Amino acid sequence: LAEGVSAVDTAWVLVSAALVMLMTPALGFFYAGLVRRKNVLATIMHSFFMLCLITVQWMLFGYSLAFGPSVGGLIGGLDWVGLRGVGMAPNADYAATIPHQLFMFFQMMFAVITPALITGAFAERKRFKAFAFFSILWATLVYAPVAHWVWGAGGWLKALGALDFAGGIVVHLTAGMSALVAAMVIGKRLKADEPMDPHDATMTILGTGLLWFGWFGFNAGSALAVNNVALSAMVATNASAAMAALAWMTVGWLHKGSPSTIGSAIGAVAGLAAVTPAVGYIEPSAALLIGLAAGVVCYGAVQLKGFFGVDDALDVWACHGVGGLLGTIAIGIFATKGVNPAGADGLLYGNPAQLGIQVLAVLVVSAYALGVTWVILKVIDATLGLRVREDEERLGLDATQHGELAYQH
Amino acid sequence: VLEVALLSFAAILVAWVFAPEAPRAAAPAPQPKISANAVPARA
Repeated sequence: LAEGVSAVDTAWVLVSAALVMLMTPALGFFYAGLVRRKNVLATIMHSFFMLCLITVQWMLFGYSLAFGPSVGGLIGGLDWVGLRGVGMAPNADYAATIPHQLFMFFQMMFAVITPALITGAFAERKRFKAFAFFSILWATLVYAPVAHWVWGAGGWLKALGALDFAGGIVVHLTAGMSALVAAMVIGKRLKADEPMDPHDATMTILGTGLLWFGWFGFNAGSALAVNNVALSAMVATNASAAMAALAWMTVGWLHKGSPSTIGSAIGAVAGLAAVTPAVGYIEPSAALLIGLAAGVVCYGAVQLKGFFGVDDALDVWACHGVGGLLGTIAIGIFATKGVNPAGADGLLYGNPAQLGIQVLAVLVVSAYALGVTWVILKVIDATLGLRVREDEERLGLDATQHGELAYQH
Repeated sequence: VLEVALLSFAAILVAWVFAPEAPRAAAPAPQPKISANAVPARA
């Protein structure tokens, strides 16, 4: 190992990166259970394909744009294109005790899953070709700059003091807001003869379990070391997921008359998304409150989406956009240096200014993600076409886009 | 090596632009008219 590298920290981040990798196929199963049987493979492919596409993009230029030497605080330079200079020695700007290449690899898994999250919004109706080009453009023009602003050395939001421990802003807010605009631009799914119900709830529950498991690497791994902050992040992650699932199930029980299994699963995911920016800065009890808020507010957001008639098919905005927003603002309230001396105190610990910084970060990143995603979608629609033909949509994306079926009977 | 890798990736992206999009599979069996998730009436 290179000088300064800790074997223990390196082992932990290696394992965490593998855990985060698992989340992307898990997301594929979570989403695939929620769609109709004629769109199962296409939905899984949206996630699996991302693992391949963004791995290559990240290695060639994505990582350099996100984390390379800053150009005015707005974007990383091209110094690390093709991972030139990203070797086995630590980069103290990001993680002083693990190889720089491992930090790159860990971050790669975040870059992979973020555009995969968006795919739930346009499920069951997007052309694969359009999806492929959208994904690489979005990863380059939205994810990389926002990651640089918030996490990059010299990034302007980081310099301002905005906190995002594991991706509430960079991952969930960007994906959620982009999902909202994607659902609006591509339009509603066609009304079909068959039910629009989830075709396999068990697939969704399995996906949720694997996501929850992988999320320990996502959040606790973001400490980038074996320390108290990692432990605190893991406890907070579990607390929020559990409380959000309970809250979602209870509200749904009162609202619709039964304690939904799928609702519990979606609630857990909302709780995981909401607590992601805050873990590592908050006490465990605050994580329970964030989970409670996520379960109730994200459930409400799903109803609101229906009220406005936006067909965000798999509730990406309601879970990830609203969840990420909640958690990011919650940092400004609950953060304490008692948990993480490298963080900040929030409103409850005598520092109301942190709340203002968090709100500013939410507003700026939301506006940027909404605007740039809209432009990308309009350009693709004008050139390749975003949506499959009506007859293709009725036949299903598995047959028309991939030439194969998930189920033969 | 880096230049070759970049060019290879670019070539893949260009190939996608010209790749055909035609259905090749048989139509899937339709989802049941009655949802599999429907709750049976209680006796």
